[in-house]
Amino acid sequence: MSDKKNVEHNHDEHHHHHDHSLLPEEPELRVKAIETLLLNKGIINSDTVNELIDTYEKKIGPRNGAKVVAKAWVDPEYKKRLLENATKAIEELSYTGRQGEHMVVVENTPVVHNVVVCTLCSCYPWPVLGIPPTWYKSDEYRSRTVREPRKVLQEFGLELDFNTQIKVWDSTSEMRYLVLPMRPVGTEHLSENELESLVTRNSMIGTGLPELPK
Amino acid sequence: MINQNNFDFKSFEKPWHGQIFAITVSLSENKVFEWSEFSKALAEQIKMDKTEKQNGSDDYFFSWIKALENLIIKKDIVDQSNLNITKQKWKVAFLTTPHGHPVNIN
Repeated sequence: MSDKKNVEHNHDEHHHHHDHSLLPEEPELRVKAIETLLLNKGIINSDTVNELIDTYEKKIGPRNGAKVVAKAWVDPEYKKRLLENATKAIEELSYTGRQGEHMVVVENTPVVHNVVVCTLCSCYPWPVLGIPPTWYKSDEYRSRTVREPRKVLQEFGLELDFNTQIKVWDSTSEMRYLVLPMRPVGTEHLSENELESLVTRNSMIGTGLPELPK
Repeated sequence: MINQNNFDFKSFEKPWHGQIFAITVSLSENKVFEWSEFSKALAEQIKMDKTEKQNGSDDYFFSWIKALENLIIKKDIVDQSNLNITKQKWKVAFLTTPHGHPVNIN
């Protein structure tokens, strides 16, 4: 547990008084220093910072992407627009803004499975998927997905038919991808809302498939 | 083996991850730098800090902090000694503020 670092004290420095506040980890102190200096200079504003955190914690996440996918499943015209110009089609649902420019939607078919990675850092389509999960930012995922995608997908529990071609898309700050997964069989009777609830985050990154209807 | 189970529905595993993220977005929106400029700096920092164990959590955001520090130093917004002094002030404040009281500097 990395939280334990919090309670590691340098006892030379504070003479064994244990009633003080918990000393944060080194990176947290560095963030505080950056924040203090920028606030004092008026370059950032604490309300804006807090609002941003709140937005990405509570308001923007993969449910947005799920709405895009479900709409594409039920509306062939929308799907056509989405594949032709994803940024514009996603804008129709008002999911715009930071890291939402230059979107490309890649469609899974019975013979092609798409998976998205950012080998350099963690470029990711925030307006439709929110903040990337931790594993997406790990060195292992970033380096191995290009090298051995089939094996990586197996570790996510995804066993693809050997004949299925896997296409790996490497995101950049100029190009961000969203996978359009295949609509699960046996869902013809479901409404757009019901379909939306089957779409998982991993299915839009390509490391999973949509859930099956219960 | 990629560890997928961790906090899968939390945007930020720790508050400081969210803090540094929001500060950076805010700076780019205030045109202190372009986002592409930051993401290039981040990519370079991650490469420099690269270890096989880099798990995408604390270590990833630690690289993020270093990339941001270097960028704002390069842009003459802060300097290294100011960062160090301010960090030290926070450290002292945490070590001298009684538990349960708000920790402040200045």
